[in-house]
Amino acid sequence: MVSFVLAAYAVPAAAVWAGLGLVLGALPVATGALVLAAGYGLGYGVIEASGRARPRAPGSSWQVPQHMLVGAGTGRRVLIWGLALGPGFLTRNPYAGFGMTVILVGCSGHPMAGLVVAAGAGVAHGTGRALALLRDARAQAAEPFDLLLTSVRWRMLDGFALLMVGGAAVAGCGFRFG
Amino acid sequence: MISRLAIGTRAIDAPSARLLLGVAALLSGLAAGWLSAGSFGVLAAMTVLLAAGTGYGKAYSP
Repeated sequence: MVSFVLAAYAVPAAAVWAGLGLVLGALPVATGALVLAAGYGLGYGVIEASGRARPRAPGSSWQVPQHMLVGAGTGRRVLIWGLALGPGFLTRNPYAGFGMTVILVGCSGHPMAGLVVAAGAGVAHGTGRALALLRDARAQAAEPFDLLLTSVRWRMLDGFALLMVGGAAVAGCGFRFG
Repeated sequence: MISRLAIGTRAIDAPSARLLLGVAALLSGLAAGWLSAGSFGVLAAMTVLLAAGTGYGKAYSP
């Protein structure tokens, strides 16, 4: 069951992200994406690391409709969840780091490099979602306050990661324009 | 020493700790980008790590 859940999340994610990487890598957007990565990383990095709630991370607010799951068996449910949640584009992600991954794929500047990096990001994201699901299925449900506190800390960690990526992008801009 | 932190919080939640860690993260990113001469490899590695982190951490959002 563990392998099935991991595959149900990671395989569609790899496919969707690889397609995105191929398209973004073929487009002449690498320099613009690098500048955007620097601004986005520093901006959202400061917002998240400082604990500010707004502006929220960009993303979709769509949720998997219940009618798609009603009456479905466990296997079909896992497949639906994996298809919808594995790639990560359809539902809301509270962390701005998710948007940054898309921008960074655009920095590749080559279709094959974009495909490889994006596929890796897709597998990483889908596997992360699946592992979190498996963890929650085994562990006792957390108290709402603990969950909120963990979410706040995770957002702060995401802010530090964004500042790091933003810093690397600023350095990249220096080499690109210097 | 009297702790100003509320119940359930940790030292990392203090504003000064956040500022320190934020500056350290920014400087380490700048150093990584500078040492790699702006190579896409560093950003590629960060892409995969960010994707994994945002995927795993999504489960914590209420």
